Amino acid sequence: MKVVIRTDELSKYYGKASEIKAVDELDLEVYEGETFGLLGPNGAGKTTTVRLLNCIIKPTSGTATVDGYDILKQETEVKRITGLLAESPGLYEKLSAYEFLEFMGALYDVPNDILAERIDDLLKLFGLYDRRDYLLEGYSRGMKQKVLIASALIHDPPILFLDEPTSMLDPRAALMVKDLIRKLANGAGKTIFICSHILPIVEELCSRIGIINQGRLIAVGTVDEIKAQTGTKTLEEAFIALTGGVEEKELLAWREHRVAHA
Amino acid sequence: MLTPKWLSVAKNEYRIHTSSIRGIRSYFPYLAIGLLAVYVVYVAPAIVNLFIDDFLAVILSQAAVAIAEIILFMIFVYFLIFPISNMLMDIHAGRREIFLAAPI
Repeated sequence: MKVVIRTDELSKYYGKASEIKAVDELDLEVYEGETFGLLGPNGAGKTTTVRLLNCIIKPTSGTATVDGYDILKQETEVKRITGLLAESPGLYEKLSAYEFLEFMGALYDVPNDILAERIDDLLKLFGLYDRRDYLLEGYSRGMKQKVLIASALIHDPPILFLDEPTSMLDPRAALMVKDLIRKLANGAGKTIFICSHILPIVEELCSRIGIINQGRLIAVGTVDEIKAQTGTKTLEEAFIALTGGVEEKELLAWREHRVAHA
Repeated sequence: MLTPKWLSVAKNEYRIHTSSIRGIRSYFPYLAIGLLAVYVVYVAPAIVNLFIDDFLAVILSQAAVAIAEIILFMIFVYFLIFPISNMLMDIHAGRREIFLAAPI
């Protein structure tokens, strides 16, 4: 199977003495056409990994290739073949869905003669065609997320990065987005890289997952493989076993301490 | 054919700032230029003619230099500093990410 994303000791450190290790010597391979999930608790380094792979920020050390393009030397090529749904995406609320997609198409160099048709196709696919001229400020959160996914697809990239695609959505909208991701993976054959801390979504959608904690990749494989590695029955238990979930006793220790002093 | 990036960004900003007048957006520039032309050709000369004597007296006085400096400073603040700082305040981190992730 062809490897489309390969990281080689990819690291990103912050702070004067590089004491904050957002991503620490990450070695990872993602195959063509698969839906890969990067799981991790808050602050584990998921978003930083996505930003590094999209050439939004530069690594402190190490490198990575995306479809053969080096993220350090071939930034423009990498950006052309990837679509990004950011964790906190900036939507222009004063534009209509059509205008926003037209702007995104222009940024990604989609030729004018095919742009209008592609926008119409995407709006029809996401069920937004009838509301294409409404301002985005009047859209529901689920509809806005659909527009943002459409914007990530406007240049028809073979690789799609989705950072927390359902974290801000209600269950109904989350289900809708999950169906869309499934369609894109199965129907359009895209390589999809999902970052999330919501286990059921990753479990349902991804063929393989990686678990990241404090910047380090601590497990990678299918859900069954990870459960077998950790000797657990569910992904949730495996996740807690690998990332070191805090015990209830530890959480309540401060109360016992106070009682003892009283 | 590709649209230059600067033109796409400018068009986008124009659309954002004119979203409240979307109905007349297509002919708004012509309307604005027309109104400006009427002001320059008819309204402004009429106003100047009304106050030309007092105006000339001020221009020829010692105070003219100070007044001109104040007026130029106000023009600079209102037409350059305010719009630029407002625009920079308006750019959210997420929007910056849109630009950073694009092949610009």
